[in-house]
Amino acid sequence: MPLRISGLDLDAYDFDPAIPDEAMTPAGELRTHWRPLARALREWDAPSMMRAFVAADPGEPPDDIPLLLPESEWRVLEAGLQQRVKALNRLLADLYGDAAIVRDGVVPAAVVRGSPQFRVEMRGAVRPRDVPAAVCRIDVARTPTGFRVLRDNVRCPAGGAPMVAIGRVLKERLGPARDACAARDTPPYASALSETLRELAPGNADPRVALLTPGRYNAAFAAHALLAEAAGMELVTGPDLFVEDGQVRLRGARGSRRVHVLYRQVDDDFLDPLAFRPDSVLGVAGLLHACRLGNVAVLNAPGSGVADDPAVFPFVADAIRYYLAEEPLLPDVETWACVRPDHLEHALDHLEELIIEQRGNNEVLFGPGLSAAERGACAARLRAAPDGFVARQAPPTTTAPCLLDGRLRPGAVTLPCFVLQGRGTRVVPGALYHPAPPKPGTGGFQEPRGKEVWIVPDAA
Amino acid sequence: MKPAPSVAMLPAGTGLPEATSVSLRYEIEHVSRYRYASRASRCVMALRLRPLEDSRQRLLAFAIETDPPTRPGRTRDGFGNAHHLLALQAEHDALSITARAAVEVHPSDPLPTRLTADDWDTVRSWTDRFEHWEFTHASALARPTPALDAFVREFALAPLEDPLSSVTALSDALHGAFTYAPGATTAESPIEHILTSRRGVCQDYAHVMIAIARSWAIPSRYVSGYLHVTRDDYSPVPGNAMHAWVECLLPGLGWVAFDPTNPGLPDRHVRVAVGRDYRDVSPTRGVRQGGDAEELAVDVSVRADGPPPG
Repeated sequence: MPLRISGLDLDAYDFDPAIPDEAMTPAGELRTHWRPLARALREWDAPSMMRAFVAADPGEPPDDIPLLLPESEWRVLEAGLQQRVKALNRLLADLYGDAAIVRDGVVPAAVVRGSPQFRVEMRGAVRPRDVPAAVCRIDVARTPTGFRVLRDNVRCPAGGAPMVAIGRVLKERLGPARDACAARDTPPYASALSETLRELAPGNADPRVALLTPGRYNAAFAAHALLAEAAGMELVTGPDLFVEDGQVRLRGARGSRRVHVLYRQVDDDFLDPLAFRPDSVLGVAGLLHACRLGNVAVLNAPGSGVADDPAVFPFVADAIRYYLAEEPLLPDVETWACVRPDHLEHALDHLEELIIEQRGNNEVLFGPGLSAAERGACAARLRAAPDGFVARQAPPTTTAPCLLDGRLRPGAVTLPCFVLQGRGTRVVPGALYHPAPPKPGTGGFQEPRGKEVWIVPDAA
Repeated sequence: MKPAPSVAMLPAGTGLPEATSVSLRYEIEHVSRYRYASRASRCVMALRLRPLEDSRQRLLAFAIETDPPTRPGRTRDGFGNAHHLLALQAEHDALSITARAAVEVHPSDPLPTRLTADDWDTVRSWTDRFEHWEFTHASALARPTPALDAFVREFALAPLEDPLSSVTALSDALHGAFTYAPGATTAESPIEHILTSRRGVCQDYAHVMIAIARSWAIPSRYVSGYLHVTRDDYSPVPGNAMHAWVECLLPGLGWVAFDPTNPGLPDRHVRVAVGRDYRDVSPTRGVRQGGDAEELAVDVSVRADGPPPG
């Protein structure tokens, strides 16, 4: 590992011409919109990231090389993400209300009600105009034929703190290069989050926003602390809060103060011992009561996880058509919902090329890696309880230049995009790359490292 | 005494007793007294004490009073039950909660003796319905277990020709199989306890009946409330406590009440809350800081107030 990085040459970038690359044409020519960055990198001289990066959360330092997206492509992505999150919010409000989408036969009841994330306790607690899912992370793959949605993260999406940390570290290191590329100013993640949460506060008063963390022994505590500090939120644990007269209040040395918005990083199960697990000491007794009274915005709302249940994923496109009367602007990665007999048959016939996921279960089965016996066992599980299974086709992702051991090498890139839904919608893109050379058929499912996304002018 | 099947099980036209043809008024007082071994610095409780208001029950008056005094606020829970939140941010070593209600109960419609075999198809078509999903699937305290399977085999409990006869027979069978024994179980006992000891209280009877009826695809829910018992009644269940029973959704009949613990007193029930099982409807449930061990004494009185004037 070199101590300094200088004079990176994109012309010496060792990419695989057989895999579409973001920076290079198959013929080995630098794409026009990458040229300013290539010039900046040649003159670049900076300490190695390993020394510069003060880890706030991620074990791996981020990658210095940003992913460049031409403005016109970004607009497609942004519009598609806004549309998707609008529909996800409508879906949640509907499912905890009249469930019209189920009664109209668009989504099977078993898909929704069979989800361990559906919380019957929330029925009637989400009003039609509420925004239950204010902070969503939609993971998008860049494929040779365009963007494809890999996954929705609606419950309690992680990754916000690394965005803040990466932004801070890279701002100084890459400032001049950013200017050279004429990259558009995107709002820093922390301020976008802060504005969004404030917009969703009940009433008009200057709202107090608090981040509810399980506490300092939680693995993500450092991330919670960083995010709270960056976004101007109070960092609180359950015992700091109490409910009185239907309001959530924060204990203080000089009396208590009302909390209007609670950005919670505590799972549903532990959020309110009077509504969910009675043995939880991480939550706030009576929180759901205050939430139902409309005196506090708990974000994302308890029960939001049903919207990112793997078995619900294949129906999100239908939800977009149903609620918005629009065609989805971003296609999904090809997914088969095993609740549908024809989809189940397809999945069983193509197990060796698909990725199998079951809801309520973190296990992901990579079809290409299974032995014949394992495939047989997998098929038996699918047949026994098809409702909770989905099968996806791993999309062919593009590669982009990544800095590995002081050299530019191709990495498979996905885009975890934060979509912040307040009164308006703010989309803050991020990028992850997979340090290992992309293995065929597994794109998007390895342990990733962070990158910045710069939106640059279209090539003239 | 052969237990009468259930609430208003007399077939139509057989001459219903006069008293059930008019609404009855009840005055209820429900006192819960908590006493702690040491001082508690604060507590928060969820209360489900306010009787349901629907086409079968009219709530004429309701009030909650606590000592020390609090201002409980009211919302609804996911099942439509009224839910009060009591918050006490002061030191205390005792807390009493008194709920007073005046309720008018309309008699349930007379039931047919049976439904038809075709009604099974209707019932089964409900299994995957969004609305009653939680009442056709297992819940924490009412779920299939090996002990339940063994019990069902031992008593040859199986669905009959039609859904109504099936649940009626089930309720009767449970009444015969179990002995009412206060103290044999606690409110949150798993059904294993009553299934092996054959002794339990109304919660256990209800949980077993719900688990079996759901296994037959009949939407079934837990009801908590009050039972009016007079000195002349034959009743194993005392009138000075909360009661629990079961409602099953049946084609054309709506939610029909079955009381496997006490089938002899139809239409003496006042419904307070419904849910998947006891956990959803516990009348007083709370968390507190300090206080150590607690003692809870509950006293319920249900007084019939005669039919409404006019």
